[in-house]
Amino acid sequence: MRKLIFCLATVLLAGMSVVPAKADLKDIIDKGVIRIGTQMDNPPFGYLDENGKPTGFDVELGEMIGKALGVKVQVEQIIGANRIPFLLTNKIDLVISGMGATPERAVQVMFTSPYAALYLGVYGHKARAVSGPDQLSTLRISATKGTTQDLTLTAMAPKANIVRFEDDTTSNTAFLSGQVDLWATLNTIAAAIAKKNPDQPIELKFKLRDSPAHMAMRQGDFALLHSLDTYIFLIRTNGELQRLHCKWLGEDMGNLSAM
Amino acid sequence: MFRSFGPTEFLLLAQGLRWTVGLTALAFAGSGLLGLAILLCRTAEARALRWAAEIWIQVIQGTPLLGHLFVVFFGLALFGLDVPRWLAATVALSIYGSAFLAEIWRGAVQAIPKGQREASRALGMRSYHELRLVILPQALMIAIPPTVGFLVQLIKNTSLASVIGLVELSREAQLVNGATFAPFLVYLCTSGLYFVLCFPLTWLSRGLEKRFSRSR
Repeated sequence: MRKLIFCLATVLLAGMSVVPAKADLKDIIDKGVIRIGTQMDNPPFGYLDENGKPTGFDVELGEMIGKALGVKVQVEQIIGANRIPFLLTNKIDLVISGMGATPERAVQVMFTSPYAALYLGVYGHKARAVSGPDQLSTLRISATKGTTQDLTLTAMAPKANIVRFEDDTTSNTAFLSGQVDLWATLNTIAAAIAKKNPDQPIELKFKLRDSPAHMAMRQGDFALLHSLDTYIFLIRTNGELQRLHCKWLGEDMGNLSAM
Repeated sequence: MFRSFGPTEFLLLAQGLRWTVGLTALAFAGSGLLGLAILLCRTAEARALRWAAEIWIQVIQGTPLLGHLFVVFFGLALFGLDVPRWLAATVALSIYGSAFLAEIWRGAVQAIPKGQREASRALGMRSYHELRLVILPQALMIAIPPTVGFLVQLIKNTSLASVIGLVELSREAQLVNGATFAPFLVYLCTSGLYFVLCFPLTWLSRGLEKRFSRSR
């Protein structure tokens, strides 16, 4: 039994040291296809329309990139938690999935300049008087476990009563159903849900931090990184990115910093 | 952006059934073939074979199906083997199922009274004929109800394939929920669809069990 476990472990370790196949810009152009991973449970960035077809900010941006590179786009549906594994095991070439950059993630993948201006905030009903992390006292706040909003809020208010949920939908439901008093989430999610629930006067209590969305690729695909950064620069200057913001997020692009 | 949950969304959800049913069929066939091979090893004369089968069963039953899915889908990709989602899910579920079916069937084989074996030996049968003509036909009757019961488990376990992004019923539910934000309705309908699949099988399994115990 012990020998078998040892054998299995050796095989796995050997597997991990295999250098993942590269798919830099030249390979993508040669193949004529770019495989883009996008989440489909993350509106307005990626979701399925009435006909079950992928649509959203990320999907449209992916199509624009395919056109710019002159290649076909193959959209792969991925899952938030598996975004990086899909990249590292060469199942996709690029992640466009509303992904925020963190130092830990930047060790595993390379990020482009941000393409969407998003921020994280704590939201609540109009009647609830809270304007900063020092006024949370015993109020219950819902957040999605392990997300940047969870980590930031925990760092800002270590004593806050944070109720952590497995996914965004559950965290949203907890707030709407009154199981918690406040709700730490992304501005786009709050806006969409406020629109969907006009009877609930939801407003921003305080901002946690900016959390712009980046595209991500494998370490070492520098040519792809550079061409995408150039593309983001171009659509920022020609108004296309502003159009995407207005169409999908219903907001101005605002002050989007570059990397 | 958000839609409400209507008939179109229910149809989308029902489309997820295709992969749930397809994956169950593929995985059941795979589990059956692999499980039979392991059963034969488990009941073989050669000690090495018995040991190999025992280790396989213990390792598979002692590790989560989720782990098998990740190893087949992401692990093999590290070696440069690009396994499509449906194949990864089929292989992982077959590996998982083989360990359970082999054990269920071993129980059935060993439930055949010893006298049957001795009688076939006395008639000069070889072990292959003994198995095929005497043991398996009887063991089959005992094995059918728990095998159908296992099939129900398998149907529900296909939902785990959603973690590698295979769009079966559970994944479709997550997607529809993402677009409609009506979790209660979406998951209620999803559970209903699983029930529609599983209930007839459970009922069949019960019926077979009753019939079998009567014939005894």
